[in-house]
Amino acid sequence: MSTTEQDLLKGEGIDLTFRSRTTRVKALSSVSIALQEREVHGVIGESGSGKTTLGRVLLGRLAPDNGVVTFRGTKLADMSEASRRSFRRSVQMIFQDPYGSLNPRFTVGRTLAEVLNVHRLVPPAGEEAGVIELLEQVGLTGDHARRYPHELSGGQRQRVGIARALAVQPSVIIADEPVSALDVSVQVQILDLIRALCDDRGISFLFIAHDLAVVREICDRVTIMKKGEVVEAGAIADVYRDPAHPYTRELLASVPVIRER
Amino acid sequence: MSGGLLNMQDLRIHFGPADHPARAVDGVDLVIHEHETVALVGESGSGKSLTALAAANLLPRPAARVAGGEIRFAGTDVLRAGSKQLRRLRGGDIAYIFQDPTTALNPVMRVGDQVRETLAIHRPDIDGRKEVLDLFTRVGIDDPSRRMNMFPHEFSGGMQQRVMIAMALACRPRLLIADEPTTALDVTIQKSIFELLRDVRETYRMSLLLITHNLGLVSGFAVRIYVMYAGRMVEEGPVSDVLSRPAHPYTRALLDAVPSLDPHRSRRRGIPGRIPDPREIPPGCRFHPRCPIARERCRTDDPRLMAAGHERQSACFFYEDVLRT
Repeated sequence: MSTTEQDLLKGEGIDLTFRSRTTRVKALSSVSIALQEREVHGVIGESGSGKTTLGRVLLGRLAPDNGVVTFRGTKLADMSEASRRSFRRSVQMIFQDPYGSLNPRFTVGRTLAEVLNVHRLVPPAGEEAGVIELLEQVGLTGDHARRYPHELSGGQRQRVGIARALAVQPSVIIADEPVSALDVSVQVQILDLIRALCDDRGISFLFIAHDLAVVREICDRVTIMKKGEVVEAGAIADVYRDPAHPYTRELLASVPVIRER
Repeated sequence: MSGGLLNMQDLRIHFGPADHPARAVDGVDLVIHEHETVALVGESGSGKSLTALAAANLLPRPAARVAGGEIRFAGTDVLRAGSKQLRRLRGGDIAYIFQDPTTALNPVMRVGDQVRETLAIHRPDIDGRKEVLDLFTRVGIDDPSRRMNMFPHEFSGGMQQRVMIAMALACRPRLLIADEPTTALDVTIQKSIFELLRDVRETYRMSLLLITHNLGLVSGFAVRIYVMYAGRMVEEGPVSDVLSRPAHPYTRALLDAVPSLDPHRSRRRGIPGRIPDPREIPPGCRFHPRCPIARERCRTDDPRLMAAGHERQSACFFYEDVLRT
């Protein structure tokens, strides 16, 4: 894969094996992926296919055995401590179950204020104004700042998860199954929010999912993984119209359809 | 009460203080006939799982209490049954499989032993080991004599769900209740679990209640469907009719929210707002704050299920308008 100007976050030839004293699991095997500016890039695979592991490698949280991760053309491994700090702010992650990743004893406002304070991003107008601005960016209101996670619906919790990621003004958000735990009726609202953040604010998303129908709705390109390898990648329209790999065809055939008379 | 293997009438389940209860289930009628597959559909918090748990008097007590209504299963008055009758009912006549098999299986007990435990309680006179081997083969677990000695963590999610199904079948239930059985599983596995459920319901001639929030899973599987919203049934009828021509705006909205691979279908829509807090159910029709066609009457009058065509019911005053769209 050659570097183009738009490549924002890129992994090339990533190998990663998890080792314990007794077992070795090859989690990623020569995986290459390039996330471009202003795109929502889907990564599809079953449980155990390595998609979350790939996300963690691109986040810089896991070091690969082989291969390189580059961000805006600079290798992660070559970064100075200062550029690493800025990289860690630029690339954020959100999770499937925001309930598990929000502190249940903090109000939403305190969770967000903490991020602003840690990163010294409190706006001149003050902490509260910064929190309200974040909440409004994800379709919530200042009123939600006083609530605790258990007082929110699943969709609202995911909005808070996104607000927390936005607090540090990232250019990439790695979203690991962000709508899988939500009702179908609520999924659309979160997908619309992600799409708008990409189109209007220029944030690129790596959208990790197992649901092909959801990926078709929101993503520009897709990478399909199986057992730690990339089996197919391309533009959404091409892959869905003309899947090249038998595994992609199998996945497509597994999506439940409503048979109308 | 009229026929049906399971028959619920005006079921009410409340939580919290009696003077200001959370009305989680608020006057539900549900009938499942012998050998019938029924789907119960609605968003999280609609009360579908509580309704299903009540069928075998399995509500989380003392938090939940039955504030009214009646449940009959094959002639047994479920809500007034003694402990002996309930033991026969639970796991015997009515079996459940749940969304997350990891939490439903005992992590420190070999899977074969877990199934044998059920058999020992309900069918003490049979050869447990042989029956487990038969059951595992039936639900598609390869190499059953080796697998039965393994622990749940050595199984994938799909294989764990097969163990749950084997356990549910162990007592030849008359009703199998599958509560979001594949929500935690991959799509390819989801398909194979549904094929298995389809297969075993024929073999065992069971009734089946499928609970799901995804209408895409219902078509081609269930015969009749109930749509539940905020503790009430809002629509009921044959699956093919309801999915092709819904008679309630909530059903219409759920259909529009199903993700689809069809590039020609218009972009799916979500449902604005959220399901009401069961402590603060709005007056009038409980769906009116989210309803695109709500009118003045919907804000004041509380609609109950009414006939909406052949074998169909809807709790919408304006169901005829919905049918036309």
